[in-house]
Amino acid sequence: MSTPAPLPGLAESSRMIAEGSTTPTALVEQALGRIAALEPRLNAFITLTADRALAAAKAAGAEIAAGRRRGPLHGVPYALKDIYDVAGVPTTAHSRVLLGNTPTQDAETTARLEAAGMVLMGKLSTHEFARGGPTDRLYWPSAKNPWKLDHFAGGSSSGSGVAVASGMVAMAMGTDTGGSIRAPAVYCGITGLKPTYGRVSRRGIVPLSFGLDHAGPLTRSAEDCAMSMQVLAGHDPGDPGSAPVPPGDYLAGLKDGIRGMTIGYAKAFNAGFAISAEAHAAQEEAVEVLRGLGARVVEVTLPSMRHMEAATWTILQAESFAIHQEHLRKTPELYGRVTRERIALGAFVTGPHYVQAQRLRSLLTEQMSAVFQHCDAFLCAPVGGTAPALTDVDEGPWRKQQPLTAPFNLTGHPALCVPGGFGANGLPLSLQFVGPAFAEAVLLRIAHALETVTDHHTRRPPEAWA
Amino acid sequence: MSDTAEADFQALLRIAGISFSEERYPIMLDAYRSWLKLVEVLDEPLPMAVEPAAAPRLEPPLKAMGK
Repeated sequence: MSTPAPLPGLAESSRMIAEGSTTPTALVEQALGRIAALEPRLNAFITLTADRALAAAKAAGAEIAAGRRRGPLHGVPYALKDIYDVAGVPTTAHSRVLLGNTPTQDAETTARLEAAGMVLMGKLSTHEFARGGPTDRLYWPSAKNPWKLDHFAGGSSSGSGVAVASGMVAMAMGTDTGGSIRAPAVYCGITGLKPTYGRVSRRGIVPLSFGLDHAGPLTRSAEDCAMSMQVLAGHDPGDPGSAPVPPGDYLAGLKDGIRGMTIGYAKAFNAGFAISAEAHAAQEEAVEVLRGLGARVVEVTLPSMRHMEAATWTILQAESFAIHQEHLRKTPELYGRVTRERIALGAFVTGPHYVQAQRLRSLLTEQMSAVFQHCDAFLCAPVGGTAPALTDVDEGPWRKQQPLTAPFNLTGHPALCVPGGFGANGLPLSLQFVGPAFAEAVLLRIAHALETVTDHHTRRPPEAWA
Repeated sequence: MSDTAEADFQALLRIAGISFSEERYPIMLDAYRSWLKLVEVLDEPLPMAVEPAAAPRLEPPLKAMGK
């Protein structure tokens, strides 16, 4: 049997359902066929909820046929990183530690997507507890990059990136504590949004670091991402970090273009890291495209990376260790080596350093916010280049190159990664746009404008391996 | 620095109640040394009035707001 075609993106699936050229059941059957064909190589899923999906699709189809369409997401297949709770479906965090853990309640985000009528296809691979690495020996295998199986898919929301890039689902949810939505989006050639801290609820999601965890979507386009945010954004009194602000409208100005906008270019930030020549060229090319679209591009200077790194990793290490200390003491053998060692770094954090990191965070957040006095958003590199070969991924407890995505977890500003070209090896390159707090709509507008004059987001991974 | 650092490393692991295999010990010790380097900037003094980002923001009870 031949492999079914990739599932259309979220907006396209929605349009097809609306015009009657497809049904939720047809989309779910296509998704299941595609998952069955590709999954043996890609390992995107930990739990496939096929029966549940078919039943939900049938119910959605009946509702829509009866004129009770809930909204544009009704009947569209999606999947969740396996740290999001779904009532009655195991949450494993890709770890033996949580074997047998079946929640009785949905995460707030799950509940919102389900209420919108989306159809859950299953739970996706992650790095263990969103902290481990791609070659750790775990109970389930790691997700593989559909562009090149022996290259890094990014993490920790690796299954989310892989499932969307390979057309198994129209949208997937990830989480991002230092770059875990954006890195898989970058390496899998799709769009990934880390919203503002507090914009999307984290209730019912296995935590890694309370102060740095963000939940957000991975999609094939800016419009798909905006449609997801229409449902996901909003205050949740059950999440202590949730911001009591209006949810925002991500579609209203999406197609208005960027003429007259001022976009910063954090050139000096990029220059401080080992960015490949082709990644640098992609950034420079994006600057010219943005100018061509009518934006004014100005160079901006970001706060000290050295201070941002120290504050970020102090908070992350201390909080993740506090969460896992009991398990690490009693059942360390249940963790993969990479996860165990990385989380153990939190044992080195002293009380005064944790407080200093939180104080520094206040100052650095103010400094980052001040950058937006000069621009509506800014562009910077998300990673050093294309996905590295798995044999070159740094899986030591201490990573020599800290992620360029992490500063915005510290300051909480929204950050969006979008396809930005391809390297000589055929693997995707990406751009990172960062905006003022709660200005996700501005980032999506920039991304959509880029999509109108480039085709990077339309390219699909070759499936020679399938 | 190395002797002190290793003694501190061992003490911190003991306090935390965790340990590593002989094979991984030098790698974790090396990670600890990298960690000390990273957090040097946290020892720089900050103005006394700078408060942590994590300080909670309380709201008055609904009753007091007349709701």
